[in-house]
Amino acid sequence: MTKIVHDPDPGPLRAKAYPSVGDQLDAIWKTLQTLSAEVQMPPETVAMLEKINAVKARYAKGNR
Amino acid sequence: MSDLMLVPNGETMTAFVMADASGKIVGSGNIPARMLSIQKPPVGGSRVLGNGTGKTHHIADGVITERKNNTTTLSGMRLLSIPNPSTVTIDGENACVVTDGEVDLSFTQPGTYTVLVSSFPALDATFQVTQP
Repeated sequence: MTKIVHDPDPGPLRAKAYPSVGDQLDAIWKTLQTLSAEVQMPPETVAMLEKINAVKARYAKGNR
Repeated sequence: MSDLMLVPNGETMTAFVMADASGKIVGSGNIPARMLSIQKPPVGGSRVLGNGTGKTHHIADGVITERKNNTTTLSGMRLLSIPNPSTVTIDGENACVVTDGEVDLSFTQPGTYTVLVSSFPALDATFQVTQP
C-alpha cells in the first residue's frame, strides 16, 4: 500500500483560521485601556487610545 | 444534439472536438463546415466530428467515447480499488503516482482536504477527507 503524508504549510492555514485583524485589534485596545489605569503608556499609544475612544463615543452602540 | 445544425443564413454548422496525442479532449467547437479544415489539432492529436467534453469523453480509436467510471473508493483514510496507474493529488499538490491500487493517507495538520484520483481515460474521482 502506498503511503502519502500531506504536510501543508501551516502559515496559510493559520491565516485562514485567525480571527479578523479588527477583532484582534479590538481585544488589544481593550487590554491597553485596562492597563492604562495602572501603567504609564508611551505618548503615541495614549494618543491612539484617545482617538479610538473618541470614535467609540461618537458611534455609541447603545443597548446593542 | 445533432452534429449538424443549420443556421439562419443557410450555412451548415458542424460540431467537432480536438484531442491531444493521448486522446484527451482539449477543445471543442461548432463552426461552419467550410472552416473545419483550418482547425488544427495539437501535434500527434486528432480532430473528430461530434460533440463531447474533456470532462466526460475522450478519443479512442478515432471515436468520441465516454470516459469510464473511476473505481476508487474511500474508506476512512484509505483509498481503495484505485486504477493502475493513477496520480493522486491533495489540494492540487503532492502529486503521487500510485501503482499498487491502494493509498494510506495522513495529514500533519487538521483540516478538510480535497483528494483527486486521476487515471485517464477513466473519470477523475474526488473525495473530501477530514483530519480532525
